[in-house]
Amino acid sequence: MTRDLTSTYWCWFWLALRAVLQCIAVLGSVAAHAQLQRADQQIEIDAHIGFQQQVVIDTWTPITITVRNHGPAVTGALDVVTTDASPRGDYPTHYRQPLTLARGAQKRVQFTVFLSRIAVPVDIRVIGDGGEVVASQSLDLRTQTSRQRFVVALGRDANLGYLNDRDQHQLGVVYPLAEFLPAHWLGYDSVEAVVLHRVSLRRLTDQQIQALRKWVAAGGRLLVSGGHDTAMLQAPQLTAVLPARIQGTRTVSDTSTLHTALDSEWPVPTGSSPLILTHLHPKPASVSTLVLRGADDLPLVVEAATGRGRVVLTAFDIASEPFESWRGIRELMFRLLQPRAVQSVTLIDAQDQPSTETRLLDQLVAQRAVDYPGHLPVMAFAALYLGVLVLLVRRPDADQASSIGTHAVAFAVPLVFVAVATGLFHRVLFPQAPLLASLALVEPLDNSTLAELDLHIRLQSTRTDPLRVDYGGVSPQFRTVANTDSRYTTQAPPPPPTWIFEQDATPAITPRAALPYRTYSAQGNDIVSFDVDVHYRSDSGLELRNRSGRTLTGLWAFTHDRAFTLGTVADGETAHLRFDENQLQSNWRDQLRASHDGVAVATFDALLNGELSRRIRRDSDTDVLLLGFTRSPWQEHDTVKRDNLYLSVVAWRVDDSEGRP
Amino acid sequence: MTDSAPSRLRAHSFAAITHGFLPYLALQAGVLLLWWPKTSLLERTGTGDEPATLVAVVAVGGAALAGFALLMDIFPPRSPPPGGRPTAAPPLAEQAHATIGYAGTQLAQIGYLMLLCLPLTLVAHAISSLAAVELLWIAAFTAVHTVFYRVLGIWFVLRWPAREAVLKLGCPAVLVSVYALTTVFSPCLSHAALSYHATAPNSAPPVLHCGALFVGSYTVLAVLLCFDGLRLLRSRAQQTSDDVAAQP
Repeated sequence: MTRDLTSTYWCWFWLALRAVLQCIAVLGSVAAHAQLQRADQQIEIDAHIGFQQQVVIDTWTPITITVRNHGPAVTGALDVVTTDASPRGDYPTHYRQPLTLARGAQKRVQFTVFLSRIAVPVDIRVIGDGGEVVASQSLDLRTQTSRQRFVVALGRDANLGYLNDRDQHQLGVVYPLAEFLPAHWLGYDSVEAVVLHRVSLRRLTDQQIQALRKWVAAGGRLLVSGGHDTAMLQAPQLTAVLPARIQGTRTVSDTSTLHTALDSEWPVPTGSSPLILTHLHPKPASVSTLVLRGADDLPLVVEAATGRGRVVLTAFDIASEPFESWRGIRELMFRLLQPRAVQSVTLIDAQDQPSTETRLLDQLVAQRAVDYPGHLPVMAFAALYLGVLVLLVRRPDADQASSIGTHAVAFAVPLVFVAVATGLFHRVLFPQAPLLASLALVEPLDNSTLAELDLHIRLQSTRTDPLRVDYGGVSPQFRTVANTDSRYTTQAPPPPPTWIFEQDATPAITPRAALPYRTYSAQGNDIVSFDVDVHYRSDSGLELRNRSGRTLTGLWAFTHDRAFTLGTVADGETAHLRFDENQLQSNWRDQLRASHDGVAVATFDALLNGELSRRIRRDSDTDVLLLGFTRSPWQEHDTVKRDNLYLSVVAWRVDDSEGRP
Repeated sequence: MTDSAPSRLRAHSFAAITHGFLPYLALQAGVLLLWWPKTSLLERTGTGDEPATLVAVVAVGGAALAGFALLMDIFPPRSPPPGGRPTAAPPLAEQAHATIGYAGTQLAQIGYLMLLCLPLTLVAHAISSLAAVELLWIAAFTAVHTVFYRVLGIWFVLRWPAREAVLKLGCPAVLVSVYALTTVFSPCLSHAALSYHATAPNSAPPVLHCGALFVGSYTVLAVLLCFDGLRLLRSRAQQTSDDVAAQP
């Protein structure tokens, strides 16, 4: 009876306790939700994504976020989370910038993110100092996705609707506000062309101007409209990239022959007033300059290459009469813009086989990084330790238990070996610091002082050390690279790791969870300053003028099936290099392996075979490939002690227009 | 010398302990070499496959310590030949300060045994992902474990002064307790489990996340055994004095 009452009391006690705990849990979640709601109401997040709220999937996209704080001051970070897809499952990527907002303050921040999943919204969060989410908002991409690439029109009164083409060219014209233009050149990844029409460039920041310039150098098309208003054309930000100098305006009264110069069957209508054109004076001609001239040899269109892109300057106003209503304007514009996909530099997640860059990084790490100590040192240590202990116990006075000296010796021996084990295995044979390996491919662009940088990095740690990398010198946009682990195991490899990419004035990258025994890989692209001018002439050979700020070492020229060593060219030097038999090196691999290492040879081979770059490859007998090494333009600020391995390769393809060497 | 509890419960010399523990150390060294990684660091970081060297070394070391501590008085380690003289350590006295001194000596010897295992453990630790603090926790757990088996060994000798009786383990309650502990917290399993918990907490099963229960269980049991052992000593001392008083 007593036992029944006791068990009943216990039963009721546990029921009551469980009910109380559940109430506490519910109240706690309600309170937390209310707190979050209050926080959300105190902080407003307004996001503008893409161009006029339209995005193209599988491209880099600008997101401009305006944060307004109506509550207490906030210090923390603004975090944008996207979801990327890989064969091994989806994984998040964090883009982050520090955020400090006083009460009543407002701040506008721009990110450049890669969008690859329509179904998963983009999360925008304000994170406090303690890591708590203070405010958040989700962007649903399903209603904002465009299947067309964009023609970005900047300017007053510009109506370029005739460029919309959903069928053949898949183009859509957008008219974004200046403040939403990308601050990073990769933000133009979904853009086919940019048209400037009577826009005040003072509304653009220096970063936006620089981004536009780099995007053109990377392969973009910029069309600048002239006409009677030359204020925009005289802007200092624009004059350097224009293919012609501006020398005022000229009046044309007879427009009957304009269409002939513009290669159109439709005559340009005669307006009520004389036609005013910008007087263009083409800059010194290069191979890629194109000039369409009208009557009196008047330049109507000047087009020139800048890096891999082109800048087109029209002497007439493309969005004003008479050209706005001209029947031939659409055809002319498509001919000038030549819509085609800008060569995307975004990396597709690695397939089943490791990429060339992954293989080269593997080789770099295998050759230069510390590996496990072999069995021999371990065996020697163990044998020595046990041997000393055997000698210790066989000492004649070893068994005097009361001897202090004996006790001291007994404890000293293992302590000495503890120190040896720590010093030898923890410091010398197998250091504990994480490893950072990077492979940088620098490809100077023609007709430009810029170069394209393709950067692959790998972080490797055996412990849960902090792996944050602060860097400078360049501002690449990084993407996660999924490691191809099928080489090593038949088990399902883990999903790609999550990175946090901090995009601000002091950029950094860091794995979100620093797990031990993991490899974290990322790839980034940027357009960097690299002023190296190379010309080839059959009579005088190669002329290389180096004003890059770096020394070029290990330079080799490859042409047809021959290799010539060119040595080192320091910054500021101009080297004249002749291809003669004295420099011919048939055993270039042996020489390069001796001066550098096997990784350098493998990198050169990959470049010569076209495995490392879509553009640098030896596919013509008249091409000369210049390959060499330089200091990496990506500079880490070593706040964390690491082992750093670098491989920075410079590669040009120099067209031989005057005969073979 | 008769095979009695007080004569067997004596403080062994460090040389004898070292000599007796050498085979266990050789076993630990063998495990270290066997479990030393045979694939490169590059391959292991690519797959997230951490070498199990430290776990194996700690497991073997823990089992060795527990076994040696348990059997140290049942099969006392002999002095190493040649030139070694018989141990002149004082037998266990029935006085409080001698008992305290004996207990202190046992703890020092357990510490010494753990120190003997430390160099090989540190070699394995060099290539593991374990932080130094986590290694200290494992050492603390190992110390508790070893102390319990040391106390258990002493208690066996006190309960069954004759070695044959100890070996037979005639008491059912003792049998059940030892087998239960061995099943739940056996030397190899507990150390390996703790090692896995410390090195890969996400992969350890829930039953192994009970370090406090482990420490509490072994500590309580060791304390109970100590009390019982002291009670046995006191009763033998009383019996001896009664025998002396009864002599004419």
